[in-house]
Amino acid sequence: MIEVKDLSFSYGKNPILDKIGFCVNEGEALSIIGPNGSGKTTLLRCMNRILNPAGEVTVDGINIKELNRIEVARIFGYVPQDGFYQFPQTVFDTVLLGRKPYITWGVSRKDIEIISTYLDLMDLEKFALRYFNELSGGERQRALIARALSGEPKVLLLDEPTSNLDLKHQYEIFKMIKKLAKENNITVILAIHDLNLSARFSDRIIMLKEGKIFAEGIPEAVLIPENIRNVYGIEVVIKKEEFIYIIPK
Amino acid sequence: MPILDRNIEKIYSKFIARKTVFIVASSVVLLLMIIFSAGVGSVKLSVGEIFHSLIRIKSDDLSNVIIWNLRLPRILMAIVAGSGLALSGAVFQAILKNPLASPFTIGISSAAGFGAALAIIWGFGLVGSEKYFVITNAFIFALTCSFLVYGISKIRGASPETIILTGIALMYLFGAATSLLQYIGTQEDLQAVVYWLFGSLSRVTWAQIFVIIIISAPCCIILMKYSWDLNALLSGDEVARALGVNVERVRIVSMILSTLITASIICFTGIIGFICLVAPHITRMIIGPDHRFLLPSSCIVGTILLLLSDTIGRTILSPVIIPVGIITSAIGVPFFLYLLLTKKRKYWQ
Repeated sequence: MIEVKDLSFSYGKNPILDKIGFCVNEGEALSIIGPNGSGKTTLLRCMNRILNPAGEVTVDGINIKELNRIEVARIFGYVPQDGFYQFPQTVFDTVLLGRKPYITWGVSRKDIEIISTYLDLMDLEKFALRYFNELSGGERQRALIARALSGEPKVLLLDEPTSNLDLKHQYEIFKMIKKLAKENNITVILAIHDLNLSARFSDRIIMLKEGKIFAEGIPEAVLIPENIRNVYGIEVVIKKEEFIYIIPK
Repeated sequence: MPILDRNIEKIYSKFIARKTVFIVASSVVLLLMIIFSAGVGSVKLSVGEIFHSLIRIKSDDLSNVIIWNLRLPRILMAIVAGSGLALSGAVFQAILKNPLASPFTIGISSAAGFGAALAIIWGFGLVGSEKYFVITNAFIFALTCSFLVYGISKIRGASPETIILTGIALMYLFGAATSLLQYIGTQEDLQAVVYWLFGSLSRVTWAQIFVIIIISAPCCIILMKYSWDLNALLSGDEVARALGVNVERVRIVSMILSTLITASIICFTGIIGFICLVAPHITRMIIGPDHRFLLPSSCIVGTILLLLSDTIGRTILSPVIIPVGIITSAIGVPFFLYLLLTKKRKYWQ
């Protein structure tokens, strides 16, 4: 279980996050939603200490401040919004980098087996020796997810993982992430803009407004017209079928 | 599934094999070039004579004197300088994530040049005896410059942008100061300064080579150990941090070590700059950006380039010796452009 307590962060004098606190269970998928600038990406980066926040993040009772960088990197897999390489790099090398927290110098057979598994899972085998920058947005995103998974993390942090994907790939990636979460007991925390996708694929949602948690709970409880009006400043209708759908008025 | 696994493993071992082949092949080329370079000159020596001289250290044969006093130190200097400069260049390109970066991007060449000009024109030196003022000044000013860049950029979190901009500002500052010294210097002084700035392997002594090795070897080993961290840095600071890399420390330690290597070389040779930039690029185009292979391979390519340039420089207009800095650019640029234009893939974005 991951517990976040009193997490605050500011860039200079600009407070971005203000005393955030929540819990996530193993195998749970948690969405962080909120308008631009509400602190979604910052919150993700504070979880695995890319940034140094005030407050506490504990994983299974261990405060990650007491762990070294490599130990933290072994717990969290991180998927950035998009990747970009100044120098051309193959997809294989890109995904291999995910093993870095385990590699000292040589690449073992086990590393290659793991890479192979996730390249296969992300349907990237045929691209293994292609250059990362030459892939389409969706293929790049899949490679970045494969990289994060190849570190075999306990917790997967995804920063708007579907921002570059077409409709089909959005749903496929989400289905796969959800499946991984359940089967391998990986906790998934993702920052996301698309409310409909978050409603459909997350177990719980945290809604941020100006660096504070505005609402938290199951999708049906958080995604109500009142909250959305308050946080996004827009009127919506909610349609309830198998999942809930948010439609702007 | 097992079939796929084996497939990826095959692809990967092929991928690694290609890099290993490159390292072996370029080492063979280097070895041949060392022999060639030892043989050519105003006195031509056969392969047999070269080996004989190498074995009989104490003999007074002409060939022995030529090999031990003239050609061997030059060749060894080309090896240590070529390797050191190329390695520093590769490291800088990674830590600043910029294809145009090299230790000279942060102004250390201008600083070293200023130090040398100060010694040549004013006879001013910081440490040591007057005989060594040019060397000690160049070394100390180059290091001072890198610490200035480090100190100033540290205030703003040592991002690549602040390092580059601070470095360029300092480069102009030292450049202007050197110009001022040249402006007030005499004709002979001016010539000496310009000659120093060209870079040359003509002033080589055995002692210099040992000094460079003592300073550079530990730095090179530490930088090699950073290979995976440098690989991670190519994916961006956030991702590198998420992978457990102490980004600021890697960037700053790498910067200091590479400038230490570069300063230890250029204080003896003068400004041989182009190797830093071009050798890593040539290597990267051929074997890719994995630093475990890129760093040693760049050393070999840098050495080949420097040794070839120096051999051409001292033989083509013999007895006139053209400074190696000039030849490096003359042969490096066309080769570099050729690779750039014929490479099918977009090389950088």
